[in-house]
This record gives sequence, C-alpha cells and structure tokens, in this order.
Amino acid sequence: MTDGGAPNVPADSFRDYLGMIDAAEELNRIGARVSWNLEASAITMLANDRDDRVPVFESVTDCQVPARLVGDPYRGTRGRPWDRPARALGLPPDLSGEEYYRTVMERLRNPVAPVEVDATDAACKAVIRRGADVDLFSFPWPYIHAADGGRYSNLHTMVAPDPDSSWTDWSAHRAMIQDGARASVLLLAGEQTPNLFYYRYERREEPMPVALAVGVEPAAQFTASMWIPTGSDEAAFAGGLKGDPVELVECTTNDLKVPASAELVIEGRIIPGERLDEGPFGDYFGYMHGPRRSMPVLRVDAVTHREDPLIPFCVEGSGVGYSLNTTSTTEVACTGPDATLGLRAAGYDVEKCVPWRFTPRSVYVVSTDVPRPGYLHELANFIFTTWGMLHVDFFVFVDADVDPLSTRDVVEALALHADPDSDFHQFGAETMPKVPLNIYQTPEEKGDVETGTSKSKTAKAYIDATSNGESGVSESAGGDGALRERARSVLDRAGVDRDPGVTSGE
Amino acid sequence: MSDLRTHLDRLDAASDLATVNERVHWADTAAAVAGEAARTNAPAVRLADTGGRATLVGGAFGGPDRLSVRSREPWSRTGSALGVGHDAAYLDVLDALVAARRGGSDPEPVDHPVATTDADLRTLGLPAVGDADVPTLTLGVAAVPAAAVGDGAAAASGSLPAAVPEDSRTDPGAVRWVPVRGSVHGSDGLRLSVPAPAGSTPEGTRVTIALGTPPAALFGATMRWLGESQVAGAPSIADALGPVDIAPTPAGAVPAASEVVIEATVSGAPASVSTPDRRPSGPPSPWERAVATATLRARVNRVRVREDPVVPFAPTGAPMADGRHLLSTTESARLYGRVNNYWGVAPAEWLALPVEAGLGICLVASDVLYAGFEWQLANTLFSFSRLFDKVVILDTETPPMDLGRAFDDVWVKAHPANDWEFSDPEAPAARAPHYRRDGATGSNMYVDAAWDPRWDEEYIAPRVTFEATYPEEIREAVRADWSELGFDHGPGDDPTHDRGADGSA
Repeated sequence: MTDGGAPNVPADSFRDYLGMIDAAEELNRIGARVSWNLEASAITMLANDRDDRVPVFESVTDCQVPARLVGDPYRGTRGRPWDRPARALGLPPDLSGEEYYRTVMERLRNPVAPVEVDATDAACKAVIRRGADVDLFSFPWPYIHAADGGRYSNLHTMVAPDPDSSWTDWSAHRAMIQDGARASVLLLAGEQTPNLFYYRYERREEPMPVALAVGVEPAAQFTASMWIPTGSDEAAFAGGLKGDPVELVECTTNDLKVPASAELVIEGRIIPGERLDEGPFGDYFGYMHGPRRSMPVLRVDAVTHREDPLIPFCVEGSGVGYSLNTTSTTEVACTGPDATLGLRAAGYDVEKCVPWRFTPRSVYVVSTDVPRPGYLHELANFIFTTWGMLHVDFFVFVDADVDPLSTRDVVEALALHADPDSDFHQFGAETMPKVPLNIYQTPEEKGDVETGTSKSKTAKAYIDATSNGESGVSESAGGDGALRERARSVLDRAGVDRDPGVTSGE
Repeated sequence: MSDLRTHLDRLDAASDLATVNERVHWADTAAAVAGEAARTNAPAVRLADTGGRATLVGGAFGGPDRLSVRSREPWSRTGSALGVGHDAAYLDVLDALVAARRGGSDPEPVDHPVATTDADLRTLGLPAVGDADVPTLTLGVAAVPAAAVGDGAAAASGSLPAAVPEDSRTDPGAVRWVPVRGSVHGSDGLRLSVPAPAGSTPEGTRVTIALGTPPAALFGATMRWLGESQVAGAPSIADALGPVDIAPTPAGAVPAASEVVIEATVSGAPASVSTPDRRPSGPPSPWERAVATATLRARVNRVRVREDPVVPFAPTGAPMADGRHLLSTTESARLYGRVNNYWGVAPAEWLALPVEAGLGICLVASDVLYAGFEWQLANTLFSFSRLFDKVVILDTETPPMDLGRAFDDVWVKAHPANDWEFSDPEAPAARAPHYRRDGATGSNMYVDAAWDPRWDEEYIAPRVTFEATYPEEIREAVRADWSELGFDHGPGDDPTHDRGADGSA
C-alpha cells in the first residue's frame, strides 16, 4: 500500500486503488444511506461536474447482499485527466501528460505474463452463488439516468474466449439487468468480442461463455478499454501496464480466467438467437439515445464475490464538455497511449493520438509529421478500418509539435490551418458503418439490426489541420524556449497564479 | 469617467491583476512575461520595473480561455473595462457593445490632457513585442484630422490644413479615432499601421497617438472601423461606453485621461501596407486582419505623460493576448447585433468568435426558424465578416460561451455526411486563418449542430445533465446535502451548462 502523496507501486486491487486516492484525500466515503435508484448516480454526476472527490456509497439502501457502490472511480481531475490512472499504476500523479504517455507506452511494450492462483486464494471467491441462489437484483446495480431502460452494470471487464484458439478477449460491454438471472449485453458488431459472438458462436448456434469481472484491479480495467490486437494475451498487457503480473483465477462454472482481485464476477453464457431489449441509455455522447434495441442475452450461471463488494459504475454521458467521468478519463489515459503505440507499431511515426477533450470517443487528434503526399489519407483509412471503425467519426491531424492534449492549440490549429477548400476529406459519402448509439441518425436510420450496428451507413472524415508550411503569428510569439522559461520563472517568483489547463508541456 | 487606472483598480479588486516587481526589461523580457501570463490563463500583469519610465500592463484587456471551468471568464476584463462589471455575463458585455454602436452624446471637452509632463519617447520603455527589436505600440488610439481621412480626395487637393483649427480641436466631428499599431525607430521616428481610410493622410499632417486611453476609447476606435459604416463616430461610441472626456491636440481631440499623448507629424508619403520595409516592426494586431490597413510614417513632435504613466500592451501572438480579445468581443457584438436586426426577429441566442480559435470560427446558437435557415444564417455571417470561413450553428440550449458543450456538439450532433456543408470554392479568402494569404478564393463551410427542425420531437435526444436527468426532489436533496455528504466543491465549480441561461452563476 502506498500513501496518497508518493505512490510508487501499482494498485493490486480496486480496494487498493481506493485506498490510494483516499490517502490523497480524493475519496469521499459517504456513510449516509443512499439509494441505487438514481440517487447514487445523481451524487456522482454532480461530483463529476464539480470536479469533486470520488464518492463511495458505503450504505446502499434496498439491497439484499451487503454491497457498496463507487461512482466514477477513475475520473481524472479537470486539468489533468491522467492523474488518478497514474496513481493507480504506481506512477507519480504529477507526471506531465507527455511523461505519462511515454511511460504507459513503454509499459505496454513490455507485457508481463499473468500468474494463476488457486480459487481458495482468490478474493473474488469469498462468496459463491450458483443456480437458484443467483439473484442479480440482490446487488445494488445502479439505475443511472431517469430515462434509462433499466439498471446497469457498466464498469466491468467482460472476458470471452475465441472458440477456435486459446485467445481470450477482455472488453467493456455494458449489461442491462433483466431479471434475477439474465441481462442484455450491448454487443456491437465490429468490435472483437461482439464479432466472436455474432460470427462464430451464434452462427454455430453455440453459447458463448463469458465472465463479467466487476471491480477488477485498475490495470485490468484499463486494458479492457484498449484495443489489444487479436490473439494477444490481454492479461499480459495488463501486467505490463501494471509492471507486475496480474493474478488470474478460473471461473467456478466455466474455464475462463478472471482477475482474482475482482470484487464480483458474473459467470454465464450469451445465448445464440436470443435477444432482449437494451436501452435507452444516457451515453458517452452526452445525450440519451434511443430507441430500445434488441441485444444478446446473458444467462447467469454463478456470481462470486468478495464480502461486502464494491461495485463501480460510470455515469455515462457526464464526461462531455467541461466534465470528466471514468469513460472520458480512460479514453485519454488508456486508449490514447494504446492507440499511439498501435499506430507506431503499424509503421506510422505519429507523435501522439489523443481523444478530443470534450467528446470521449467520436473524434481523435493525432499529432504527426507528414512525410509524403497521401500520408494522412493512408493513416486515416488505416485507423477507420481498424479500431476506429464504429465509434470514431473524425480524425484531426495536427503538426507533430502541436500537443493534442492542449485543447487550445488543437482548436486553434483546426480554425486557422484547416482549409475548407482542401483539408476536409471524405465527407458526403454514406458508406461507412456506425453504432446506433449516435444521436444524429433517426430511429428509422438506426433500425434494430441483428448485429447491433445501425441499419444506415454514415460518413467518416479526417481533417488536415497541419500547417502545410503556413505560418502564423503564434509560431513566433513569446520568443524562444529559453526566454519563455525565464518568463515563467519571473511569474512564479512573483506568485502569479498560472493555470495552463490541460497540457502536457507545463 | 472611467480611465485606465480605474479599470486596473477594478481588476486589482477582483484579484485579476498581479504585479511583477522584478526587473523585466522592455526590450525582451516584458513581452515574454506578458505572453506567458496570457498563454497560461494568468491574471493581467503589471510590470513595475521595465527599465523605462512607464509601468507596463499586459493582459489588461485579455483573459483566460474558456476550455476549462475557471474562476475568471475570458470576457471578465472586458466587462470590467466597459463598466458592466467584472462578473458580468457574456451577453451583458455583448449587449453593452451593441448598444454603444449607436453612440452616445458628444464627449465633454476639457482644456488639456491629463498627461502634462514632457517625456522622451525612447525612455518610456515601450515594449518590444514579437520579433521587434524596437519599442512598439500595440493598444493605441490615433487621432487624425477628419478632413484627412477618407478616400484621399481632400488630401490630393493639397488644400488640407496640416492640423485641426484651434477652435475645432475639441470638436469630435473634426477628428477620427482609429486603432493604431506601430513601432519607434530612432529617436523620433514612428511607423504606424492604421485603417486604410486614415492611410491617405498626407505628409505634414498632424497625428496624435494616445496610449493608455480610457478603455471605452480603445473599444470605440476599434468598433468604428469594423464592418459596415452605419455606426456612430468613435468618440461618440466611446462616450456611450464611458463617458469619456476629450482634450485638444493639433490633430484633434484625444481622450483626456490618456496616459501617454504623442503628438507627431506625418513625415512621408502614404505607403501601402504591402511594402515590407515601411511596415511597423512586430506582429500585426488582430484588428489588422479585420480591416484593410495602410502604413504611415511620422515624426514625433512632443510626448506628454501622466505622472507615473501606465501603458497597456498586447503580447501579440501569444494565445489569449489582448488584441484577440478586443477583436473577439467587438466583432462578436457587431455580428450578434446584426443577425438579430436582420430578419425582423432576433433568432441568435448568443454568438462568439472564440479567442481560443484565433477568430477563425464563428459559433452561433440560434433558433432554427425553418428548414434551411441554418444555411441562411451561416451565409449571412460570411457576408457580414471576412474574418472566418467556418461557422458552427448550435441549438439555443447550449449556454452562452459553453465551449465544452459547443465543441462536443459539433462532433456528435452534426451528421458527418449531411450536416457539414461546404460552399463552392469561389468564396473570398478569410482573413484570420493562416492559409490562402495570397487571397485565393476557396470554400466556406458551416457545421449544422442544431436539431433538424423537420425532425419529430421523439427523434430529439435529451441531453444528459444533472438538471435533465434527475427528478427535482433528488436534485434538491443532493444539492442541499452536498456539504453534509462530505464534498468540498460548491456551485462555483459547476460547469456552465448548469448555470443560468444568461451564463451567470
């Protein structure tokens, strides 16, 4: 365990992580009785909006199994979205964005194989409920937005195997609780686990064994949000991220392996040919989207958990604009470094790939040199046809010396360097797939397609906001680096309150 | 009368002015310090020791960016400068500027400027900004005899008197106030950039440059030369924002409370701004992108200063520098006023050329009156201003200057295939962007991030906000119990989308 001021070892469990931010006085353990029915999420949303401490609801009303809720546990602070993830990974929370990205990428380059522990040593097996003893509604799954279709588990790691190899995918797919033993799971074709289900298991009319590991250790949670290449050992990437092996334990009712430190594990099968309503839901765009759609059904075989488990959740949709939540934070702190590394591995010498500050998943900013004609087109197409296929609609390319973490620099580049005449590409053609979570398609355009994508297609675009040799006043402003550094020192000595905002350079 | 010192006192009272007592030389460090302060969203900075006679102030008309929630707003200093209040809502600032365009009464004359102490221009310590290696003037107001300003006909006739007749030197109609940017060369040489109509001023004509004017005069001089000509004269606009007293000089009346008054004589033939070696040193001020400019050369006749003069300046080129703010608010107000007085109704809830975007994007939150109105609105804005070639149309539910929401909606609400609209490539080049500086034509574009008025109500996705997502009894209970629940941050930390419709807390 570390203290709050100088972490140097990664969190081994979700509880460990909460202890870290508690020690840093960034956690709020709320003893008052709070309901899972909108109240916990309302408090969490206001905490997100006000950049306040992370709430732990120690006493949740109306739940048969003693359990606690944690609202948006990984939300970063407004000015430094990566600070809590950094702390979770044993990194100094005051790392600059540049240092954070560099460190995380270095760790991802060095996977650490997991170790398997016996069930008797696994914290997540403290209580085992099977068959008729399983009742999902005995746990305080939160009702998050007043217009949601139901109560959700939306901050877990879904573990699902490839039926044709030893590969197991970790991913994040929310589950709407339907009854004591069923949930509908948001599976959108185009993503790895959904593809396994729709195009392998379901076509073979076989159930897909899955486990939803809730409240796993931070490195495992972060890995689930990344696009790890098919066939790679996700647990090893989590170990690399952590710098220590992740402990896995075999499930009780199937042979999947889950992080042993999990607070709670739902074991079950996603059934071919079965669908139940899922949604509406307040989603990451910052809007409620609808209509309800049919999604595959998870039948629960067992639930194992710690005593008094901590159930994390995300108030989805609250991480837009000026506010952050777990989704928008992990996009910046996890998906960004992972995507940067992935692009470099594919041969693109990008400087950084970072999500747009005010929108978690729809648009990314990539800083890069442009070494040859056609490079940006090639790069955009590569991304759009791989991990950026369904959720991402736009890429904005900026010069390599523009920091994508500096929203102001990106906005200025977009305004002053992107020529409507020549720098906006691929508009107008409705040829590309889209998830139906969006709000710009009508319900008819979205439809209710068997594989989860919208019935209608959309367009994707990339915007060349690089300077193309154009220069502006800003480039010469403020003098050289040494003079600027001297100027900052002068201001600091004078006690001037500076706030550079979200930027990695300060 | 609200002079610069009053404005600075207000900033001080609002903890929006910091003082640097350490020596920061005017020749290099002063502008760098002000630039870093602007870049890092710091308060305005008063530079007490610059190796010159004047105290310099950077950021007096600047402000932080709106890309995060901060205790100060980008327009707070403008609101303070205009007397609307440091805590004024954005729309209050716009409304004040819109109202002033019609002008007020004539400014009151006084016998002489407050600046009475003779001084040497070189010893003032005017800051070298950007790549300039000489002193520069960045937030100046020039008084030019009215007869010398225009299409040059009077000047060409040779009948123009060199100075305003003595009995007219406090007549606001006998003078034109123009924004001026310039540099000092040698002991008494000036190169000045002024709006083109003032560039026809012939050799021998008197011109007066006022630095550290009452803020209203600076805003008035800028507003007068932006866009259409159906606005009052700059002194009258200033008086509507002020009031502002005026005092006589040979070139005509100047704001009486100005900190520095430089009387000069045009010394060379008017030169085109396209002649590089005649241009003032240092980077152009943003207003020079908005209006056609010309260069004047002049010789200084006399410099007078107030006791312990204070000279505001813009660290031009730094993000969030004063000049961008000045142009942002004045141009935003102009366009806001125009689109709301064009169709017989006032559809625009708010409008902004964010400083953060270098004035290259215009955001407008508007009622979409009918299908296709978005096109009409965007293209009206393109026809009213040549600064930008990108317009984002937002719904009125996006609170004023909530850039976080605006720059979310642009990506998630607008259909990438259908709602990003480009004109044919024959539109005139916009002036704020860095591309097509040769004036080549190109496309304008607008993003329609407003709901399609043809959509059924059921298609409209509600926003996820605290207000919209939770029942009133839960909201009230959560807010009431917030401190008891153990949280630290209060309503002041709310993002703007939870603030009132007027943008105030």
